[in-house]
Amino acid sequence: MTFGRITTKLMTNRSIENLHLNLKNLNDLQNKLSSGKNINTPSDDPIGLSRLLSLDETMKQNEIYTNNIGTARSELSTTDSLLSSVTNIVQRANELVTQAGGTVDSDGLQSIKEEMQQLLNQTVQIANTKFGDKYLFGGLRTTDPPFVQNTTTNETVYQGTSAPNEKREVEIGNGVTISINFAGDDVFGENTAGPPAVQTGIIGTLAQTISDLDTAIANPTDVNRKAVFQHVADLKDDLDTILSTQTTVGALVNRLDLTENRLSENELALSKEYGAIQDVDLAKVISDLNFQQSVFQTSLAATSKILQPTLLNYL
Amino acid sequence: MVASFFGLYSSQKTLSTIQTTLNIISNNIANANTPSYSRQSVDLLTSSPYPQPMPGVCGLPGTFGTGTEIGSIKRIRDSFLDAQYRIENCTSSYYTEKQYAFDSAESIMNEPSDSGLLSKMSTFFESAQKLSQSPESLPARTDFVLQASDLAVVFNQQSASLQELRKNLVGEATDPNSLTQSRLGMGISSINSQLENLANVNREIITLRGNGVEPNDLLDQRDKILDNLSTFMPLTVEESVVGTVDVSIGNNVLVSGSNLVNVLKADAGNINTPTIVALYSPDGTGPNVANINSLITSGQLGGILELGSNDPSKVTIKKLMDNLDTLAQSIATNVNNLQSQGRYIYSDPTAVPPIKELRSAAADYPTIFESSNANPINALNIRVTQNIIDDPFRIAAAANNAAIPNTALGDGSQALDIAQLRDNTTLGPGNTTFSNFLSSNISILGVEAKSNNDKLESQDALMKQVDLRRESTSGVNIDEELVDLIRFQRAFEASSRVMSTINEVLQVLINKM
Repeated sequence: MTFGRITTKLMTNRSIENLHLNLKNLNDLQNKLSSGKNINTPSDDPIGLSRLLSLDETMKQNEIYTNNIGTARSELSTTDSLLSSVTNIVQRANELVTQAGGTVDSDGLQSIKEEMQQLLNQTVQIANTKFGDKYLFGGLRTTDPPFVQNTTTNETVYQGTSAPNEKREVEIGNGVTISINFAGDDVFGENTAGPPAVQTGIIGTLAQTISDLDTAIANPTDVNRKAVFQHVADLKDDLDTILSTQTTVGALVNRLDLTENRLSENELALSKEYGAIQDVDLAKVISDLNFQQSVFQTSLAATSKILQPTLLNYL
Repeated sequence: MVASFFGLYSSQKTLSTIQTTLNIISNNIANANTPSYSRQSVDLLTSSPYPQPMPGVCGLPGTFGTGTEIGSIKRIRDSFLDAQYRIENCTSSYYTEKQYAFDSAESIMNEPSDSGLLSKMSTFFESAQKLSQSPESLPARTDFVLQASDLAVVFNQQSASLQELRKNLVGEATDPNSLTQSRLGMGISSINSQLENLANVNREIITLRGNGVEPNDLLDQRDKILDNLSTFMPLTVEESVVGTVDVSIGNNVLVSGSNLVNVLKADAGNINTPTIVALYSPDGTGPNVANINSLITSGQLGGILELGSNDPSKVTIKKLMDNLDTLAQSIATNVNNLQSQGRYIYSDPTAVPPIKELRSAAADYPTIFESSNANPINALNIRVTQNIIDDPFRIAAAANNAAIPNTALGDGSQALDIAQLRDNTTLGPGNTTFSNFLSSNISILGVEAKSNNDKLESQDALMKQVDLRRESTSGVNIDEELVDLIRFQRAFEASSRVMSTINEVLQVLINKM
């Protein structure tokens, strides 16, 4: 900008204005440096901001999914180890039943029966395990023990919710949920007096075996021992049920792992992009700041030189 | 023949002219830093020659000069630059005012941050997730209630602050005091006093001109008043033949010569346009013009009126508030819908046996959010229903599904539905999610604020350029004045020398003969 006439005030005003401008630039840079952020208010970069907000939203969402996966995984691994214990119980029951089918006298049968009773009690106990506040195998009824056992008659009734209304869903992706629990009656069966009497699963088998053992103890004939021994087949079915449930648990854990991997890869990409928008490039800002500082100092020095002299200094 | 003392008289005339000139230079130097001072310069003329040239006068070979005299004292001013400056200044104040409001609105919206509405909303939906996973647990339910209250409080705060900001700009139609105490009201009272000053200065100018004096300092004062007025709104300024200026807005005259014709007054409007600017006579009668809002398109008042209006084509405070209302209302309606369709946990520990079971929420506790007053739910009045705060087990986390027995307290599917509302794309004209709706609301503000800041910067540069140009014409250059000072000092010395020479000549003539 050129002027025909330069006046004293014009020079002062322009100097002050330029000093302000330099100071403002300096301030902007210092702001960036001290906050570490490129975008401090929406108007700093509206387009960047809207991307930033949506990235932030997605990242928070991913964090929730990751947390959900963590909780789900620990619940599933509890389920898995419980099922493994039940597998051991079934195997022990299998041994005992096989023994009972051999040449064991009344006393032998009695002690087998007592151990069988312990196995049944243990199974019910496992089926009534709590994970945190929740009964794992009660379906949606998580606040009460799923199995109620009558210790004299061995009647064991399931009082949770049954399939298909047993699923507790956990969200592990946008609109993707998985069910992480199993209805107790599907896994362990039950033993009700009825009518109609229901004897299913490992609980049914163990209870039946015990009552057959009672008959055999009272009257240890081959026929009665054979009746006990026949439960080997039932135990094999029960083992299959439990193993297949365990396989499902394994598959679910696999799926959780895969999802988590995908989420963390996603997270990496997202935070990279987030950083590219929001994080200050320190090297650049610091060198800009140094440059701006020297500009400011130069303008101060220049101003003090230019504004001093008038003709008066030389008259 | 010329009189003997002729030379003495003409020297004396010159000396007094030079002295006046020195006074003017001294005044210029003194006012070098006075805002809106226009430097003054002296027009020197040769005074009328002797004798008056007329045919057949005594046998002189020609006329004699009689020294120098002052023609006039002028102020150096370019009225074209003044007009240009006022236009740019008006636009610049318009953007400055808008920037003030946008800055405030941005800090109210408080984004990007961890405590803004967006982040509260996402925490609320997260707590619904946690609730869905442990619907039987009190901590999860209490957390949900806390997050819901937090969300409601942030809505309340932001909406109240925006309302306060709008009140601060244009006042509230229902509160007459707020009209005069608003920025608009204060602008108007400032305009009115300047208009009155203008009329007074016009009167003095007429008087001085009538006495044949050039009222330079009053003209400067008047230019300053006009500069100030241009900050507020777009005015038409016309100079009359007698040297006064008339000021009008649109076709409505405010000041005509020395008469104050109309003053501005803020009248109460309605919720959409809280303040209506009207023209009244100075004695308070009127209104002479009921509404000049549409004429105030620029300047500080223009910016205030635009942001305080409910113009759908502009980003206004009202628009930000309305968007918050839409969002709060939509969240409340959707969450309440799910609540009324679900089942809550009813417990009666005194019954024998104690009861703890799922019951339909529709009849007992149909809402989670409610309005704190008689109006429908909006951002300002949204709050969590007291019933839910009293007992978080009243949140309907379970679905109302006849196939699921009422003992299934671990059913969190309804809470999961609440959590999944965040992906619900039903809001606003673009059918977006809650968070997209909110971030687009923030983006709109950001884009507008940025574009306004950019315009302000270039407008400011433009204004300063015009102002510097004006300064270049009218400002004082001390060096220039000093050179003049020396020039006239020497002239004074020379004239004095002439006078003493003539004196010596006369001495010879009188004493030595």
